[in-house]
Amino acid sequence: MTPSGSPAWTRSASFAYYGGDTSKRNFYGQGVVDPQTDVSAEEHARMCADLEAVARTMPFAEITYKNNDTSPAVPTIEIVYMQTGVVLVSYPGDTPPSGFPSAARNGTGDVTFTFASSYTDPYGVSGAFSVKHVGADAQSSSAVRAVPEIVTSTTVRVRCFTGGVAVGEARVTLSVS
Amino acid sequence: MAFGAFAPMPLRLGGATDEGWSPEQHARTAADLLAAKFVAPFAWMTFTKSGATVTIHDYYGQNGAGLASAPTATVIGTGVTAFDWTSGFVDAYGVPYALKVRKARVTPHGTSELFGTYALNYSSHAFAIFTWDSTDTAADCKATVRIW
Repeated sequence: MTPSGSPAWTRSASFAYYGGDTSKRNFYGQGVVDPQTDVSAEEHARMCADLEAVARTMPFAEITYKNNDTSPAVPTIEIVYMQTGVVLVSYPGDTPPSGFPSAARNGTGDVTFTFASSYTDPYGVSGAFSVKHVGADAQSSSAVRAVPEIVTSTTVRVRCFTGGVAVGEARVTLSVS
Repeated sequence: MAFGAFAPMPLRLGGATDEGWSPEQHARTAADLLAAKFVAPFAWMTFTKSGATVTIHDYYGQNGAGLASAPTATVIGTGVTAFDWTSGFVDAYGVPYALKVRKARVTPHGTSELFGTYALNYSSHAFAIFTWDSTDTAADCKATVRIW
């Protein structure tokens, strides 16, 4: 069985993918008989419209990582929430679990993340992915700023600064969509 | 309980796993959808401000994905751009909604230190984005804005 439409990260979500139809109605106008067992056409319509809305704007990935600059090494990816899965056990940026992004160190406070150009949903449906939007926030009690750059459609570079100077050992949350 | 042609809307929860939708599965769908609705951004927008020109590169919004759904930009000054939607939006079923920005997050893009701030209801505009360099001086740049 193949689901309708394309995976959410393609941003092509349509209420019709979920069975929505502006003419859908309850059979012979008979609404819910028992709300404990029935789902009405109106309730289903709300679910389809809401799902279309959130599927358009959910982040593709929320990644928390730490730069390793004192003893220069690849960044440590600490937590990954992605539309395709979650990783709660940290991993070195150069040995990502299958399906998760890698990261390389460019210099002090400066790393590059690499994503795949296509991902697959639980039903085996693949959808193209390209980075369109990025957000980055440093986790710090001092004035550390994380500045991202979309380098290619699948790579994002993030630099960390304080006072205009590159800063090491920063922990950053990166949002990608 | 049969489904499809034998039992059109309302859906009757239950049935075999390969044909039906159990109350437990429906409950999980409803709870997860609600969770996503609570936290999903209203929109992501990436734009570049360069002098008197603002280019919106991409827009993903609950009101639509694509530039046609993006707000209109107005240049205020160096590092300052205001945005407005000309109207509310109507969902796939024709239900209208007002567009009201309640908060935002701004991330400038670049190769040097930059940061961003925002203001709601700024100078008769829905919201405005401000971008700054490391000396706290207003600076034009590319930026991603998340809106809730």
